[in-house]
Amino acid sequence: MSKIKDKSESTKFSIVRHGFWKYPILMIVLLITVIVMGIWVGSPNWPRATIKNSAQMEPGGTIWAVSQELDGASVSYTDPYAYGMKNPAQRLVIGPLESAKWFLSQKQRQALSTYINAPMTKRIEWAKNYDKAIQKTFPVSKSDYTPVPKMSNISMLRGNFGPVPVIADTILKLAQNGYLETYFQGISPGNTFEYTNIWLYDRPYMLNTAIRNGLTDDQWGMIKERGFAPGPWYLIIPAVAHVLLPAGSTGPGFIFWNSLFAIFALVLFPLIPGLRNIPKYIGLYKLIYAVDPKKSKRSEFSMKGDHYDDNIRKEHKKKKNL
Amino acid sequence: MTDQDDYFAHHKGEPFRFKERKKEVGWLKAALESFAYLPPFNRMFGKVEPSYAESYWYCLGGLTFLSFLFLVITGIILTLFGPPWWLHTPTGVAVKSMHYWSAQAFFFFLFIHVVRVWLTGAYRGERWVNYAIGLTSLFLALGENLFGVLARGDWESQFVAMHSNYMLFGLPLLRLITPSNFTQVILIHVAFIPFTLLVLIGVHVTLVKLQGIARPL
Repeated sequence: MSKIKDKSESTKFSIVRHGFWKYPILMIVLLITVIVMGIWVGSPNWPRATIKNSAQMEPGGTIWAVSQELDGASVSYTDPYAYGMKNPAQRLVIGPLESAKWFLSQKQRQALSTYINAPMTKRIEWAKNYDKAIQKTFPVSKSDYTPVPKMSNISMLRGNFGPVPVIADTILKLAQNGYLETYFQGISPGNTFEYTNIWLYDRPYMLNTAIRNGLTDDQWGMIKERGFAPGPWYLIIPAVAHVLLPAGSTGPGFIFWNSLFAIFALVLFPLIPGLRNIPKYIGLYKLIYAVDPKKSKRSEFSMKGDHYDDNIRKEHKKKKNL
Repeated sequence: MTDQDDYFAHHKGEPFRFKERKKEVGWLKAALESFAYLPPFNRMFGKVEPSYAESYWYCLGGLTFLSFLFLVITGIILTLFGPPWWLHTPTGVAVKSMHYWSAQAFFFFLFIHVVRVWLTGAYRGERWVNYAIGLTSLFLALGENLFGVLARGDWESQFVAMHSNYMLFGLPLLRLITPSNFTQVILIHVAFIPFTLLVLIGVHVTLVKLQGIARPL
C-alpha cells in the first residue's frame, strides 16, 4: 500500500479510484432515472394521421388538393419523382380510381373515361379552372393557416371543369371509407407509408395541424415534439440555421450554415492562434479542476512544454530502451 | 519517486490490499475500487491520473458512453419487437420511452462533456485528432436522432418525413434517402450510424487512454 500512500501525498497524481466508485453509482442512478422517466413520463406518441380522418375532418381540403394534383400545383410536385411516383396525378388520383373501377357508379366510371380520353392540355385546363374557382370561395388568408374551402361552397361551383369535380368527389369518398389508404399501402414500393404520407402532406389539414401545435419552421418546430416536452433541444444549432439565418429553411442553405458551424468548431476554434486560447483567457477551467495544478507539490515538471505527459511518455520510452 | 514513475506506475502490477483500503474509505468504496485492479479494467482505465481530473466534470464522457449503452440495449429490444409493439402496447411504449430518455441523457452529458473540453482547452496539440473524432460523433448522433424520429412511426414521423423530404432529401445524393421508407430509415438508424458511432467512440476512448488527460491550462 506504500505506493498508494505516496500518491495520495502528491497533489499532482492520484490513483484513479474514483472511476470505480463514481461510475457504478452514477450508472445505477442514471439507469433508475431512465427507467422511472420511461415509465412515469413516457415519450412523444401522437397517433399517426390517416387519410380517412383527414378526409372526414376537411373534405373541402381533400377536393381542392385533388384539383391541384391534377393541374400540377400540389406540394407533391416539389419532388414528383419521390418514391418512384413519377406523375402525382396518375399515382394519387387516376391510379386509385382505375383500381376501384369495378365498384364505381356509372357516372363515376363515365367521368374517369372522359378524363383519360381527353388530351393532356384539356385535362390540365379543366383542373386549373376548378382549382381557381375553389380558391375564389374563400378570401385571401392573412394568417399562417392554409384556408380550407367549405364543401357547401364547392358544390355550388359551375364552370368548364369537365369531369374533374366528379373525379375529386369520388376520391373524397374512397378516402373517407378507408379504401384509399389500403390501396396506397398495397402499391407503395419499399414500405407501406410512402404514398399515404405524400397524400396527407398535399392536404392543408396536416400543415394546419402542425401550425396549431407550433411545429413549423418559424415556430421553431425543429426543437419541438407534438404534445410533449422536452423535444430535441439538442438540435438548437441546426434550428438557429433553419429559422434565423438567410436561406436556412432551404436545403442548400441549411447544409451551408451547418457546414460552416462544423468547420468553425472542428478546425478554426481549436487551431487558430488567439481563438484557441479563449478558454485560457476566460479562466473558467479553474472551476473544473479538482485541485489547482499550479499549487501541486511537484509542479515544476507540469509547467514545462505543451504536452508534458507526452514528454513523459517519450522519457519513459527512452528509459525502457536503455 | 519521480513524476514519470508516478505517472506510469499503473503499467506495473500493483497489489490491492482490500483490508487496508476498507479501513481508509469504507467497505463499499473499497469493494468498488477493487475492480480497478482486475483485468481487463486495469488496462482499460489505467490507474493513475492527474489529481485535477478527480472531479465529476471528468466523468461526463463516461456517462455519455453509458447512455449510449442504454440506447443500444433498449434499441435492440425495440428492433426485435417492432413498431406495433412500441407504439401500442404498455411495455413497448415504456421501453421506447426509456430509449427516448436515454437519448436525452446521451445528449445532455455529451453537451456538457464538450463544454468541459472547450473550457479546459483539451483540444490542443495532438489531441485535436481525438477532439475532431468526438465532434464528428456528435454530428453523427444528431443525424441518428433524425432517423430515430423517422423510424418511430407516429404523427411526428409522418410530418418530419415529408418536411425533410422536400427540404433536405430532395438534394443530389441525399435524394437516395427516402424518409418515408421505414425499412430504409430503420436500417440507417439501427445499423449504419450506430456501427459507425461505435467505431468512432472506440477510437475516441482508446486515444483518451493512450494520450492521457490533457495538461492543465
